[in-house]
Amino acid sequence: MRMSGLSLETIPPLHIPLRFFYTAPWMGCIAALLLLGGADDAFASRWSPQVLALTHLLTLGFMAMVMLGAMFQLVPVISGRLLPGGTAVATAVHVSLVCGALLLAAGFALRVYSLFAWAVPLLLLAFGIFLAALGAPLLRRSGGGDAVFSMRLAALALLLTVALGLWRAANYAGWSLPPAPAHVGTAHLAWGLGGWVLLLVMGVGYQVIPMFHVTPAYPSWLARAMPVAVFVSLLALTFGQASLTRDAASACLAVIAIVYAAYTVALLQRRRRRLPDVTVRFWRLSLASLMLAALSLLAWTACRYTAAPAPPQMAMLIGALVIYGFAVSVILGMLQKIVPFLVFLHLQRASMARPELLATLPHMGELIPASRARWQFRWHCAALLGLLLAAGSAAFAVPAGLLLTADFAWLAFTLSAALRRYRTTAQCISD
Amino acid sequence: MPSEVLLDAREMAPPEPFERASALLRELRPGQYLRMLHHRVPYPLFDFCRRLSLICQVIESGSAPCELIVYFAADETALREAAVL
Repeated sequence: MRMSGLSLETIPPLHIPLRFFYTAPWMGCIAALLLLGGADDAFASRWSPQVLALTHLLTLGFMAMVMLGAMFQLVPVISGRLLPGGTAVATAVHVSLVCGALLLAAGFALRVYSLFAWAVPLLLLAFGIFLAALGAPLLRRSGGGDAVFSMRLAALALLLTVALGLWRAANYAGWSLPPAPAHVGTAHLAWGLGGWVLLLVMGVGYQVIPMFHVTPAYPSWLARAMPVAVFVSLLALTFGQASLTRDAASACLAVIAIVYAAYTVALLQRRRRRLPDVTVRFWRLSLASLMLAALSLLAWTACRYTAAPAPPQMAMLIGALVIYGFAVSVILGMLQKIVPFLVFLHLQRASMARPELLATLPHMGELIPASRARWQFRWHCAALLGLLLAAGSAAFAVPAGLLLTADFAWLAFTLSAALRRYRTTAQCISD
Repeated sequence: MPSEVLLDAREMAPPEPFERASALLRELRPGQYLRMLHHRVPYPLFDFCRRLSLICQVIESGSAPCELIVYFAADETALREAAVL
């Protein structure tokens, strides 16, 4: 009974999550333009400055932007506590994250690492304030259900991701810190994608899949065991001394991802009402990408123990599958559902004093029409395919960049249209 | 005996149960009551009912995970006599 644990008295103002959701597509567009601008050596190596700039625009500028906005919305509702600081905290996090992500990406893309001297404090500020504000309600909530359980581990993973990332960035900037060991980059990547992103998607999924798609709930033992297993695997991956330990941890992480994806696909098959729903398509695409990435990771790990080495582009392929196939897909799908739902919820609350106006409120399907959401799915599939091809051959980088631009621009257009509809309706209610 | 208006929202995703229920409740007249079957407790509806001076009662042993009876205060005795409440 997912909604039974929700506190609807602690819904934050609409502008708090929306400022994050509406910024994200533009950061995605900048990432796409960067891909277009440096198409020749776009995917030379996973550690090339061009790839690092693109990756951080997608992970910080797009993914973290939406995820932080969603947490500002979800945590007060799930935990039943308003966030300390309210709008001021959200503004500080939003502005710091935008500026920090842009400066970090610019530092990589232009190879002007002195920009990190500005990017590091800004990102530290953004995530520090965010974790302090959201950590308190997350930790205080006794019990809190499976969603909060997974989100707590996600927040811890974020803390480690940020700490490891900032250590690396400080080294780039030439600050007098001990140089980060070679595997810190891999650990940063693993905690960010395998920890923060996977654990957060799990936690949010525990809440929204049964609620929005009317499916049975995840069994509680599985919902708790999977995040714990992910977290333990990441600890082994980071602190394991022997390469065998680290490879076993990678394989374990991949297996958990496959189990999670397979169970969620099966759960979506058990929807009580099988109406066409674009968000379900996005979930399936996302979970299929996660499975493919996990299988590729298993193969990549196994290659270490065979005579045939893994092709160098395999790491790029896994990265593209996890970032754009898994995370961006699920985010796009959820935005198609969450934005109209939040807009409707706030309009509904605004019109409670005049119940006769409820009949005039736009339905969710009018805020983001199904045809527009279907086009988002098509653009996204095309962009994902383009990016996967570009990960294999630079010849596809320009088409991939164009398709990514179209994907994010379409999202910006869709969200803006929903916001316009909200404003006109809210104006009618207040008149 | 008040007449029943039935809304089975067990297979509906939010906010459809609220949309349907609020539309039915706006049309509800004394002598009628709404029986709503839901897969969760529809909290937002409680506030809406209060504003329309309707009474909400969750039936614990209902046929759905959550069964809600919404009625006018004047009909309460008749509903109790008919074992609806």
